[in-house]
Amino acid sequence: MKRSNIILITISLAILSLMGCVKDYFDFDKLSTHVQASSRWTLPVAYGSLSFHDILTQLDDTSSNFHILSRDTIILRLEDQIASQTAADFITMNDKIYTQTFTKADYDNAGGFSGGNVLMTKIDQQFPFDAINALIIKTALMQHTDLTITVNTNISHRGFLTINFPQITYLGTTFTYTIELMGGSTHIVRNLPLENYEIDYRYQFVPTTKFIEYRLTLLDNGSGNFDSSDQLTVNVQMENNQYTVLYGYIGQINYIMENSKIKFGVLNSITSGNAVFGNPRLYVNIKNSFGLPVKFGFTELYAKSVTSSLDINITGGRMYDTNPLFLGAPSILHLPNLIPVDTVLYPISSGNSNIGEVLGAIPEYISYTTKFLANPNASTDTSNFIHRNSILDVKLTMDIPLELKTSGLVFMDTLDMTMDLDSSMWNRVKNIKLKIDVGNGFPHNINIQGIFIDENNNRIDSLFPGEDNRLLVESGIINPTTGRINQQTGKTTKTTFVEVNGDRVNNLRRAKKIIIFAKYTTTYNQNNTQNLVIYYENYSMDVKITSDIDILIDEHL
Amino acid sequence: MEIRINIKAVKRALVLLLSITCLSSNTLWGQENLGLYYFNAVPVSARLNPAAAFDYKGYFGGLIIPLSGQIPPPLNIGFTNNSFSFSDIFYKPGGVYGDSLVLVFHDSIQGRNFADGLKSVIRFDLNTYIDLFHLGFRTNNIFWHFSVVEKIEAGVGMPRDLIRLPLYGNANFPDPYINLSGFGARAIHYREYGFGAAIEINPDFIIGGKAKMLFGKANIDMPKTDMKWETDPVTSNFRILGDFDINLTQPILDIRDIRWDSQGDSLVFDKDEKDFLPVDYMLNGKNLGMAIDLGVSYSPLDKLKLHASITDLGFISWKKDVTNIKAKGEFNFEGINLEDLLDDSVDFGALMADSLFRLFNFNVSHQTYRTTVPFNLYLGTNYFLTDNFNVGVMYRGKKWFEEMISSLTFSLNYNKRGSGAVVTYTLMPDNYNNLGVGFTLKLGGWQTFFITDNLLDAIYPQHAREISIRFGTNWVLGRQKKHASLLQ
Repeated sequence: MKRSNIILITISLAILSLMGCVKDYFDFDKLSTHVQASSRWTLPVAYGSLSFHDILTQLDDTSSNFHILSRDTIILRLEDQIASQTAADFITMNDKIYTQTFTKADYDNAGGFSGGNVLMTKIDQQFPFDAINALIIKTALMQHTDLTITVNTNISHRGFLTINFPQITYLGTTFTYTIELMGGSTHIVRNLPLENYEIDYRYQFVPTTKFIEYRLTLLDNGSGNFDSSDQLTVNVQMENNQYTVLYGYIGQINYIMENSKIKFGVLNSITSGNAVFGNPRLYVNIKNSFGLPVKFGFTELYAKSVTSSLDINITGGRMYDTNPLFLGAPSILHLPNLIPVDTVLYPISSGNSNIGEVLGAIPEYISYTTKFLANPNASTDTSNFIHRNSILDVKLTMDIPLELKTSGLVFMDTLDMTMDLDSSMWNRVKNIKLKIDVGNGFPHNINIQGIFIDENNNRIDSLFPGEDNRLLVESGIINPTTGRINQQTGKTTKTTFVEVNGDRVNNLRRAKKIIIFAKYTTTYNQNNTQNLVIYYENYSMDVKITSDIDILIDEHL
Repeated sequence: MEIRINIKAVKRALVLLLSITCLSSNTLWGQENLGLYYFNAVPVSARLNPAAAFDYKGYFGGLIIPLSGQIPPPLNIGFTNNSFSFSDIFYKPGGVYGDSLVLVFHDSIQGRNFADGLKSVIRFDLNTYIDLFHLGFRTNNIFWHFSVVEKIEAGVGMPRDLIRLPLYGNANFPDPYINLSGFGARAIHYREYGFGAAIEINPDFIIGGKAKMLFGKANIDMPKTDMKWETDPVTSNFRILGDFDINLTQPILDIRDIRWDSQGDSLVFDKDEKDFLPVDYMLNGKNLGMAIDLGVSYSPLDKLKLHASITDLGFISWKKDVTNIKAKGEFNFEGINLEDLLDDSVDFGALMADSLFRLFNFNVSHQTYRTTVPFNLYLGTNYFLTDNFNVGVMYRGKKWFEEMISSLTFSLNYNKRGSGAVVTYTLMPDNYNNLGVGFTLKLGGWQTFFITDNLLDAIYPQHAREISIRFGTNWVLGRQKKHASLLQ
């Protein structure tokens, strides 16, 4: 064999033998799919600067009657409308219809034609709108009435029908209206809108007083005698009656409002503890533009405590039976310009009642019932008036300046949480480390604990295991001169770490909610007492939460 | 003309070719053929140095030549991975793993070491050149060349930090920020018409040049692919910045706009499908460019030659079927705002995903742009031991993806009137296993050749990272009389 062929074969064999080694690398039947990777991830979870407004808004569950008045200091204001009455709610003026018919009898009573004519008269004595809620009207200034006079007649004689309203003054004179009759069967309708007229009710109970006088004058113009079948019917309708002012005596009217509650939604999140508030105030603001004396007072005034569930009577209030309030009313002299009279029930405050203690017991609500009595003296000589725009508006207001001290007020809030991660991913999480940075610009120490619960509300774990409460951060530094915490330099900062590993990671997976407990405590001074601290509008708490997560993958694919 | 066929030589060549082919059945082969530089038996060596001279009078070949142009077709196929080989990922560590094959990620330390050892941008590049037609002939002291070549080059890039990120996490990351730049692709398809000549100034000095008209067919160019993720060490806040420029030339889609829908949670592509006509595509002459090759050979001493050449120095101006897309954005994430958290109304994951999804703002236009052709710089010298046998060394620098990829090739070369062989050894960055071989089989005027720079990759494909192979068939005609200046 030639040398070159030997070399070629040797090389080929070497190559072929090496293919066996190569094959090892591509023998995927022997491939181990084990992978291992250890990584650490950091990510920002949450951030923000919470003002007291943010916290209270989050805690409040009533929202409708809760305001924060921020004029540097913070005042919580809760309001409730006790009553709001308008004149329209109070007085309604019904339509009135008058009907009179002239017949042969009236003709005969008038003596028949004499001197070429005959005059027949009839009267209506009843006044309109004479019974409105027992109102005794003396004068009615009417804004508008749709007056309609309808005449139906078959009298063949010509003549005149005059309708006179002696008690109605219109355009400065007694209101009279005349209709000419042309004889024969006739149907006449006259629409007369009366604007701004006056009805004088002073003599309505005098027997001779007429409200409407009908004078039918027929002319003897050769149409023959007045037959027995002849007649004339007149209807006077007063509709769409609107008054401007009613003067008179409304009578004695008793009005008991339904029980109402002013709810402290923001305090419902408090589970325990008490506090002393600096200067809470409860007052009633009444706007009255009805021209009548009113007696007002509470028949019931108490609070229910969130923490003790007891009812606590509130003292110092104007109780109806013992020290009622007589509301101011506008003077008749001010009409027609109606100016409501404001009356503020002097505030129930810590100085004249137990409202401070009541608030310190953390009320869930204040329950009250009020009573009004119009014309308490019940004298018909009393002059009342009701203007069409008269209102009676009664509002209960509770102002709570945020100036308080507490030895431990615990707020609770529940947040939904779902760690929506694939279970295989959860198995790889070995450790979670939360870093919570807080800058406390509030004048209270704040302790926070979180309890994780499952879908059945069973406790699974806590944010700070092994401790019921863990001090998170102390109060901001109050400047002794200004009494304020400088929000740039005076915040107390604290960094807290929460480590979750092992079984705790599995607990976190099962958690559906976290209940947050926050305990506020006023710092003790060197005398071991507590001072009242004021919350200012610019106070805030900075929070930054980051997490470090260790993931270990050590498995077969 | 008498044609002698060396049957034994044919057998040897066939056995070797088959062996290598079998071994290569599961691998892609491709690398620029550096061994071609002194392999002047093969006419395409003029592509590397237009000053190359040949000891035959003429040649022709190409895909369009009946029968000989297709068996085998004249192809150059190259594949490059700049970072790792198969055996870097799958290997047998032995020990407790016994005979098992493991992934490099079977151990966290090994996995990190592997990832840290990768290039900052991992690239996979592919190129193929198809000689449609080439022709060369000699007149007096000038050797003329003409060629039509279809060139396709493509590459994709991926940032290394994308692999390092899951292995370290962003908290333990070894660098100040996570560099996600380098995502992208580049591709170019063009046809090159070249006309050149090698001129013998004197027996010791030859200059050559080739002017080429380029007709661009399709292109993907991403001149900017910046993206990075910063995590603040104190606050852990995220900041992700992205800035991409993409230029496309393609005949399939007319992209009018890319925008977010009114809800901002879906990306809308306003596009129309074009009528794609393959003939129109292949004959498209609107995207014009030009390039030049320049070369020089100088013999300062007897038997010693110095060579220098630069090839594919040029550009293409893309005008037809052009789309430019700019995407830029910044994502800052500090976590959930506490007010939203207290409202119980926020889905943390959805918040992050939505914000990250809308990272980019897009701007679409249709402006002409220009790309440069990846050029090559060659510097070399060879020494003639005999008239036909020389040893050489050659430096090659290739401009690709803003990088200059360098290599140094040592070669043993034999050339005689269209017959020849070459053995090479090439040093490349982080790759020292490039043993190459090339040979021709000549039967009269018919010449077929094969060359590769990575023979060992055929034997050890698990270590292959840069593979190239070229083969083809030419007709080599005439015999140049011996002349000192033309001796190689």
